[in-house]
Amino acid sequence: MNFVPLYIIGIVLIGYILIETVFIYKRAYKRGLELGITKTQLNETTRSSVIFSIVPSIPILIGLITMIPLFGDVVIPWIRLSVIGSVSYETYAATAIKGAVGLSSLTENLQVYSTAIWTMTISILSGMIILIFFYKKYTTQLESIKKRDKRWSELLIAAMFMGLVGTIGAQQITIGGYNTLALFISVCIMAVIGGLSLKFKWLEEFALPVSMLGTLVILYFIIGGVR
Amino acid sequence: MNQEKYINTLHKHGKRFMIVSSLLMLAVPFVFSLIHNAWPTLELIKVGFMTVGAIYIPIGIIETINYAPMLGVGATYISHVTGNISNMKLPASLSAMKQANVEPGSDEAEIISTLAVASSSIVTILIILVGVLLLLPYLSVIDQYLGTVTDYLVPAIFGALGFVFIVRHWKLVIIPMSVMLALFYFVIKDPTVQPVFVPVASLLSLVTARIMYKKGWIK
Repeated sequence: MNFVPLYIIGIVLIGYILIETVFIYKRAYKRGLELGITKTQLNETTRSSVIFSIVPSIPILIGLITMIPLFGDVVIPWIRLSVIGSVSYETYAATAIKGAVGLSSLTENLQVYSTAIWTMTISILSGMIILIFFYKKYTTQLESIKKRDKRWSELLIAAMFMGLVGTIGAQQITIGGYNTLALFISVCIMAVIGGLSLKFKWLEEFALPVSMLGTLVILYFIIGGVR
Repeated sequence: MNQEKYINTLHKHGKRFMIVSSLLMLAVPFVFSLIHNAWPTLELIKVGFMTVGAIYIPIGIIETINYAPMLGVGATYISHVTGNISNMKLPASLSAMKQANVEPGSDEAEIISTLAVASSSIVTILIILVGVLLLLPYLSVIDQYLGTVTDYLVPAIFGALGFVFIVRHWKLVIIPMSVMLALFYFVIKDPTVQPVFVPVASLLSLVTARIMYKKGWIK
């Protein structure tokens, strides 16, 4: 498979995002000064947000490592995790499509590979499309919808995810064998880290990627052998 | 310049930002398909939509509606391109507004939130970039070791994710999970077909959640 052109798109895309972000930042900074916010305050906001974001960025890298064998290269994980998306979303999307056609590896069939990346990309764009067409018009209305029933809108998202968790959980349990074992190991690691993060708040961000990687490492030793 | 004019220009730039970056994101699968002459078939697209799109498209919309008023205009545009909204951008914005002592929704909060989310996005993108550059020489090693267990990535994710959801909303999971377990044990025994039932389970979960919410069983 030829991944070189994808690296070029990745560089263009991420370069573009950085430029636009810096541009919006600069304009906001200027507007902040006009509003009478002090330079010290604006710089302090920047400084603390930078520091705040360092630790939660590292788990994204751990997740990225687990995605490399699935996609056969680092370029797709790199692009997908630098833009909107997440380790769990991208991995689920890719493996669901691969599984549905009965492939053991995504890289076996180019058509399936391309379907996986098309699906991953299109399905995550819905929020951006809403912003393009409706955001300006509905800025005020959005607020009233949210205020009307904040709790229900939270439950709505949780309930939709429950459908996903319920289906995939049930699937992994009925498959049995190492799948059920992996599910169980992952639950245990998450329970331990989740418990610890009640005391050490910074651990929270690491819980999911460490559970994933930890489960794979433990399974590797149980199953044994290098491919 | 007044705030209204600032916001209007921001919407103009934001739209351009959304359009160009979504086109560039779509260029990734497009170029892949083009150079390998491998396009998805209608059959495969259907599978993709049933297993992934049917759940993530509505979630994307609901999340946008949910987060936009909290983040403000500038931060909404940036965070919808760079992602990690609930776990990074929103907390970064909220804590910056609190630290700066500005009222959420005010003109000042709009600025503080934009600065916070922009800085946070830049940091994450750069850390991932450096990480990827450091990882490049070890790709084959990672593939060699993790490759043997990649098949178990899905249970490795859903065990941890499921645990969190069940702890937070255990009442919501009982019905979809038991129905799916029964279905998969007795009727749909082929694991490759099972993920197609995700939208069904989500709908079931939504209906039961709504009933429980109305009856006051969940708060």
